[in-house]
Amino acid sequence: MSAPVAGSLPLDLRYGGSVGDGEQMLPAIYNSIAGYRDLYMLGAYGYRRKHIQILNQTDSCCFSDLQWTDPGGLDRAINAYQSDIQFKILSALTGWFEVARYSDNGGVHKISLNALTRIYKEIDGMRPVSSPLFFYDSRGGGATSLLQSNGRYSYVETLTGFAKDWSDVVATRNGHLFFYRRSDGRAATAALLNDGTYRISVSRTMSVPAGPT
Amino acid sequence: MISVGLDYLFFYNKNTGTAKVGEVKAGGNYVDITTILSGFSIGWSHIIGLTNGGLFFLDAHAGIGFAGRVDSSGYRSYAQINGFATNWTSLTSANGNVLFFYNAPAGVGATALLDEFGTYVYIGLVRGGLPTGASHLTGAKNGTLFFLKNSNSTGATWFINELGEARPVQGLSGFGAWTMVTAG
Repeated sequence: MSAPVAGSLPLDLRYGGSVGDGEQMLPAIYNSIAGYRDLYMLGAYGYRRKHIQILNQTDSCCFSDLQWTDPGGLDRAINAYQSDIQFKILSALTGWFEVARYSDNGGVHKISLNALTRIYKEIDGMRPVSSPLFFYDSRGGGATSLLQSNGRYSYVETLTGFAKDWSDVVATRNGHLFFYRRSDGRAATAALLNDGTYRISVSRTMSVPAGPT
Repeated sequence: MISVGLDYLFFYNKNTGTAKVGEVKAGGNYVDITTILSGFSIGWSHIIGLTNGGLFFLDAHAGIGFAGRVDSSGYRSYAQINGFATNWTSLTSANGNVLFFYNAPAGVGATALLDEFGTYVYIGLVRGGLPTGASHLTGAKNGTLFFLKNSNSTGATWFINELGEARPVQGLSGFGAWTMVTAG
């Protein structure tokens, strides 16, 4: 996760103090190799990668409404490049890009409390999670356990009452179990939560066309 | 049937060389993403899905692999990858982009990375301390590998990081004889 604070903006959105020093404008880089939108993409693209660009709404230095020429503020211009980058990132199915603007910086060039809170929240969200484990016995039994973020194993619960003829049982990464019977394409789903608990409440019985095994 | 990505399922029929992609939506509802797809090799002994959407096929007898991908538009194939050992007995994935190959009789493993565009990078062998003769192996999204040996009711966990580096975590005992084990 990366979170640049109180800057930058793409070059075409810079006026007044936002123009910046020479290293922020160097044509040999930004005109010839990669522009700022490209750099934002690179920061956002990749498995589990997040790029949260934090800007102050008013900042006496730069990159805020105070340096922008339109009295309506920067929101419209920011939303345009944010949407463009988000669309490309979502198309690639990996990564995350977002612009977050806060106003509790007292109008000066600093990291605000809301910005820090957002950064801490994002870091917490990136911590490894536990993964559930599901055991199936063709005599109709089952069990769940937990593989903790440090790799240690812990038992959760014993289950009974499963059909005895499932030929495949797989867990999806988004918290479901899929039971499948190759002979006739019958299938069922249930929930397997991240804490290792099994929930039959969302169980569905369905007919998946037989064929592929 | 293989779980791939966050919620996709890949069905493969070894006898006919056909496959199909489906998705388990919120609430547990299953929907087809594709119709029956044909033209797959009938020689794949192992297929494994990765959380990043990558799909890896292995013909353990011929030592041939193949990379593909599943997403909301269905299945796309990438390229054949040659040069695999011919003694892998299990294959699983962990931590998003890591493939783990396992030779149960020898207690030897190997790791590799596969991204969502089919780029395969071999990392190296894992020797020393791996369980031998495990009957079940499954990898979790948080990087944990779980081994279960039905014949003596023992198990073990290992951890693999996103770079494919593996280390042992815990030896376990007291398991029943389970037919299938799967990790979310």
